[in-house]
Amino acid sequence: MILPQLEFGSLLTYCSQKNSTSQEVIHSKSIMLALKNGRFIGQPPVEMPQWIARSVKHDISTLPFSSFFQDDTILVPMPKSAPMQKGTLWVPERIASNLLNQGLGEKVVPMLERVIAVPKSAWSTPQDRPLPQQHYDSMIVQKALADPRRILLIDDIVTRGSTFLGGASRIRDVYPNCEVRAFAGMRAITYESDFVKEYHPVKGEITYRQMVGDTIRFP
Amino acid sequence: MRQGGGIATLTPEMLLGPLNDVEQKYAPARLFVAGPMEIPLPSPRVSIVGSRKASKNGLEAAKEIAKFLVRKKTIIVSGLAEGIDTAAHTSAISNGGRTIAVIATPLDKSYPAGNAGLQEKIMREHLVISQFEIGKRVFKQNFIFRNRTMALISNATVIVEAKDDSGSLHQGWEALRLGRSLFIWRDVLDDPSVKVPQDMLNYGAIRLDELEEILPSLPQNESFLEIAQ
Repeated sequence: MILPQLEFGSLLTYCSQKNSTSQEVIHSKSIMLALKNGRFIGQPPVEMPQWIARSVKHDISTLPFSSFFQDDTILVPMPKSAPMQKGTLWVPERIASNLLNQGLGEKVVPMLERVIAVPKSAWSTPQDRPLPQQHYDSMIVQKALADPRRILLIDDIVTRGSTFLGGASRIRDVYPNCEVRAFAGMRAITYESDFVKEYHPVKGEITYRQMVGDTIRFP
Repeated sequence: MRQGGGIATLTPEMLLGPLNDVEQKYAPARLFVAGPMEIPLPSPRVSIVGSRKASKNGLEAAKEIAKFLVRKKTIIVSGLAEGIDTAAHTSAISNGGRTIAVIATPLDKSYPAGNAGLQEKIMREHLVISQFEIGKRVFKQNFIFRNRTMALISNATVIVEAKDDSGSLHQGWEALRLGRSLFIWRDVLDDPSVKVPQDMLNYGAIRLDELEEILPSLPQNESFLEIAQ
């Protein structure tokens, strides 16, 4: 069963508006691709997942989602949109491991596994993006823990939040008393007019619209 | 050194910037390059690869994909083989674009020999890259190593035409391992005699119907990215 709502936090923002000529928007897309590809930013260069984790650690006292990171929080990387070959770049796992290296969370447990490929959100029109139920149906949970109190799902990008909601719902099936929340390195916004800047930490909700089966993310 | 027509020896990091450990796994220790293109390489870069014995439709598709990407200021990467590779390079050049040939022989050899003239032109005006030292013999495995390197150099890969034993499929699997976008041209997937590209869809490859679908994968800038806090 799909959860009605999920709290999420994200650190950075990019604008997905097509054909924008704004240098800020173009730059934010380059940062998004650097994150998705596990590339480096800054001088000296730092791998993006490490940069995200360092920034969360550095600013933890002021971040709106600081309460997500407790000593007993289990960090669970979200699977990619398709099953992976061994040794494939897995950015959410890198973010989670770097967060743990910064002393955030108790341990990393890759308990969610994608067993059936779903279309990639970035290559789907809004109406064709996979819904929470498709994500739910395409993932399984490897029951690796006795009775976790808190789980924080970790992903690189959150768009509508359907992946998070599908994964969170899977986990709650197995651990019904566990508190599940979500963190993404970056959130996508559609319109240039809503884009403030790349470094824009927010806390919000992903809400399931049962009638139509999709999600609304705010902010 | 390269401006005088010479060969430079570079590390992959000098060519591409720092590499993560997944990228380092199969990256060659050094690369031999010839041509005037700036280093580190400008972006975006897209590989267009496929069969040597290509069909007329495959050759046309390779030319059209290269032409479209050149209009989007993308550098066309390919392997200088006959068929799809040659179509991709020549379309890039004839449409005023830039191209990189990643070859499976040392820089002083050409394979096929009939592409020696094209190789010389790309060395003179664009860039040719080899991971094989001058004087070394050419082995069959060179082509697999070359395909991995081509995946590493490219922000995305497009397979235009392939059979289940095509070398370009090695590049496809490597692109997926690196987390890069792998596009498979629709005609490959619509051919019921070819199975492996269908399997690749189950591991994250993307069916390419409209050329615009390539663009979201392509960074406009990879150098000196900073985030203001």
